[in-house]
Amino acid sequence: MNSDQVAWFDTNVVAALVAINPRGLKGICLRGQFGPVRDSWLSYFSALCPPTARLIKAPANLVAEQLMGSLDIEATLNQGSLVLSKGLLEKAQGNFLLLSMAERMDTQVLALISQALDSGTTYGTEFGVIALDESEAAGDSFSPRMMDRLAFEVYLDQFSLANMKENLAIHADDIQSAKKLLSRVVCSVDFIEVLTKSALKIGIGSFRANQFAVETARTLAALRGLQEVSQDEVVDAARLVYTYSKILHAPPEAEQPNRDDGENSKDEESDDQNPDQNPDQNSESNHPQEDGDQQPNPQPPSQEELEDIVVAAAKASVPKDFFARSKKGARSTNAASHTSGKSGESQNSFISGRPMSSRKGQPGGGRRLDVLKSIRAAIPWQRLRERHIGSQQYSSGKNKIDFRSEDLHIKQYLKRRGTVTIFLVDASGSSATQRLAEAKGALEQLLAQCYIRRDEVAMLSMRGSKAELILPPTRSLVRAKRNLATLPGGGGTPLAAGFRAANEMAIVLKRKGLTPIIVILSDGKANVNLKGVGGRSEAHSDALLAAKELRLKNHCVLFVDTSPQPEVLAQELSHMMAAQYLALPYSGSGKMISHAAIQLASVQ
Amino acid sequence: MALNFPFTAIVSQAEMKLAIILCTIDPSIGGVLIFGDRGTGKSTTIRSLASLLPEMKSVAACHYHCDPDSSNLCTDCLAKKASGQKLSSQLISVPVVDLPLGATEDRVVGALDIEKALTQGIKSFEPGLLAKANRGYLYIDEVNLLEDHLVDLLIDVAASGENIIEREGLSIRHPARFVLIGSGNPEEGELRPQMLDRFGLSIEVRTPTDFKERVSIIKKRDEFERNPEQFIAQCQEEELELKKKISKSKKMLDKVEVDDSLLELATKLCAHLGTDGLRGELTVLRAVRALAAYEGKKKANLEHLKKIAPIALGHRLRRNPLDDSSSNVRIERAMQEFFADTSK
Repeated sequence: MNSDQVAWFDTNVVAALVAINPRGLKGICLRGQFGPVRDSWLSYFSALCPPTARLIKAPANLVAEQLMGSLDIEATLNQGSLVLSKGLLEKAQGNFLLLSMAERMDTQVLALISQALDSGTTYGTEFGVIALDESEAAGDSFSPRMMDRLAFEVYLDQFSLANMKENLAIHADDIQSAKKLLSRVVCSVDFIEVLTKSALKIGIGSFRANQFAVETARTLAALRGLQEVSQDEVVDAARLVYTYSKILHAPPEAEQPNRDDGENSKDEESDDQNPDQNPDQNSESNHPQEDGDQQPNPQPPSQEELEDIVVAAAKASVPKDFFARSKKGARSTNAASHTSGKSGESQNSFISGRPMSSRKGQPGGGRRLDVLKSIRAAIPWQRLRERHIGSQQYSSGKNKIDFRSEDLHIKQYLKRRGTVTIFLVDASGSSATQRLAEAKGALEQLLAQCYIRRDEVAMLSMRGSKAELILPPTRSLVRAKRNLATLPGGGGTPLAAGFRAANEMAIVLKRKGLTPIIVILSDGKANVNLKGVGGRSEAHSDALLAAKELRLKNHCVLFVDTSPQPEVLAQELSHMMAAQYLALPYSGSGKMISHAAIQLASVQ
Repeated sequence: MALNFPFTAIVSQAEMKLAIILCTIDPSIGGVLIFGDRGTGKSTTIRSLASLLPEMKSVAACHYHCDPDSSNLCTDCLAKKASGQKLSSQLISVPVVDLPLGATEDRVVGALDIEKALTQGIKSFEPGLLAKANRGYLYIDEVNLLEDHLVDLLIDVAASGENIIEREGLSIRHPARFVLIGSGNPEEGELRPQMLDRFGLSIEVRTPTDFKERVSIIKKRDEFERNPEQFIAQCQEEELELKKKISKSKKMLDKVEVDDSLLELATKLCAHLGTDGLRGELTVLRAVRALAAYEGKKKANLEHLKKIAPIALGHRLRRNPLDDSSSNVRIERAMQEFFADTSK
């Protein structure tokens, strides 16, 4: 069985666990695009859910009112008494709330959901959350605040159709019996210690993750029909819960984990009794392999050994292509800061932007009347106004609504005006380290400015064979400083890859209504092409191509030439992307760069 | 009502617990701001407050839990009193109100009572979260992400102790005195300096990296999750003890002396740190007094001041955007300098 297949079974297990224990595990974040894989997983999950529980879909444009419930106008008018519609949260009780396009969801709504998850019993029962995160570009992901409150995340993009042919044979009755058993399952203190220690070793700060791991181990034991958690459950739990985005402080240089493909070849179908026997992923030789006929292990590993096993297992659970993709905030928190809270300056507009709740006001001048809201505001007053003798509108017509100007509400939209300055820094060998220092200087200057202007900065670096995200868009000085301090240098110059990465990031930011400004610091001497292979000529033509792409998108670009004398190559590139060109023949110019960038921003 | 994790069972985070206790002893300290990463037990600590606080007397069926013995009453209670009715009182637990991030202004301030208006045609006011929090605590999770207009409103109400509503044909004012507790993650956005200054104390919470501490936290949490009632019963004794201690400290508060030399020292310290305004000094004075009372001392001493200064002044330092060391580090540095100078 190949490792992808095993990983797919893992997602099956996760589905079963959440179906058994939504109260303790809260839910899952599914990362991946819309497609057959996701559908297959969701249908598998629905089949596991107890008959009483349903998947309740929440649209991406959900507003707080829909979530909490509000006045049902129609019913209220018909009955002449107050009728409240049930909010989604209330409906979700005892069921699962499916958040489609969770990365696009309103912060307020996510805050309300996470609060409901925290308190758990606002309405008496509990609910689980299945969040679908379709974000692709780095720094566009799902709210970290919410992520922290869900036990699992699953990467679905790694699977192919072939993997989905077989699922673990877990049935709804297995889930029911596990549910009954769950409260009796105990987890020994030793195992809690192991899970805690290994979390520390991996660099997991949040206690929630730690708790989820213990809870997962117990739920797994219940699924396997055990009264007590054994070490296999501990290893599996760590692997399933300690995933990448839970890691707060990246352990030094996470390397590409070598997954052992020599998995045991247990045939899942031949054994319906133990459908959940999970082949474990780590290649530790001292770990007892689960085979069809379970050999009792003569010497169980000591605590320290088990810890190492757990750490290795957790590290190996990172999806294979994770490192091939742009390193999503792998440097510190995965918290793309702007997905939580307001970024940049937002401006309420009455014409276009993302919809917000309406407010009182008179329509006209491009402002649109929010009919529903206005009716809603008028309804409570009807009886009062009826008595009002001077009421013009009062007639025997039963269903006329008496409006006053104070009832009128107008639609409001949120427009973001904030700028995000994306620094694309050439950190290769040819750009001497001193140049790097300058870039950092400029960035800090800008940050100091941003602190006053409430803008954001982000940073990408080009070195070796690819572009790396050093700093997702942020306004937080604390974080920027921390990430800049560890910026490594040296290696080749993959200009094309860098341009592309900056371009993608800028597109994402534009979609969010922010204004991206790209500041490129480079000498223009590309020597690594898009494929990550060295070679000057091809690298340069690739860079020109990527520069063209930048130009097509009409971003606002500043090209800072960092070579000792103004460089023809750099000028050519700068011209190609229609950037503003700034030669930088001397050092100590952080101020100059930041000044130019601010100039650019104010032109916007 | 969900059961809350008991306050006394919370391992570590001593600073946070102390700050909250001090505010309980003397609400005029003006609230606590808690900064820290996700999942460090901020919310758990605050939600456990409710069961820790001694019950208070309140007018029965009053929306604002007015204190029958005080002169600061809401309009309803005043009207009752004026008409010669006796205010019946009841014991209630101190309210701890959660303000969700997405709360609308209507929910916070209060609005027209739609049901009454519809069914009976009566114009009456439905109190909001501010009314609920009167004489208790208002907890704002992720305070740094709160909408600006709500922040302004809260600052205004917290300062005046009164909520004034002029909307929808209603004109109402009611008492709203509460201790503001905010929490947030500084990596997700800075808080406006005006807002910072309103909080009396500030704490930076870190994830404990000590393994034993962590294990005991997870263990306790696991026990609690499995059988909350039993776990709470186990902690009953400690909870009661702490309750008594807090009540005693409250009574003692007025007897605590802070002599002039200590006050002078506090003033000098504030000047040395360059904190703006008098608010810092006042907070230090009150918090030092509360700490002395909590320790059962009749007189505040230098140790108290040293303990209080970082949490009372940390967030009032002038920010230098390029100095990235945390305020705790900076204040400790400054205090070392200062006390080295004064001891000469």
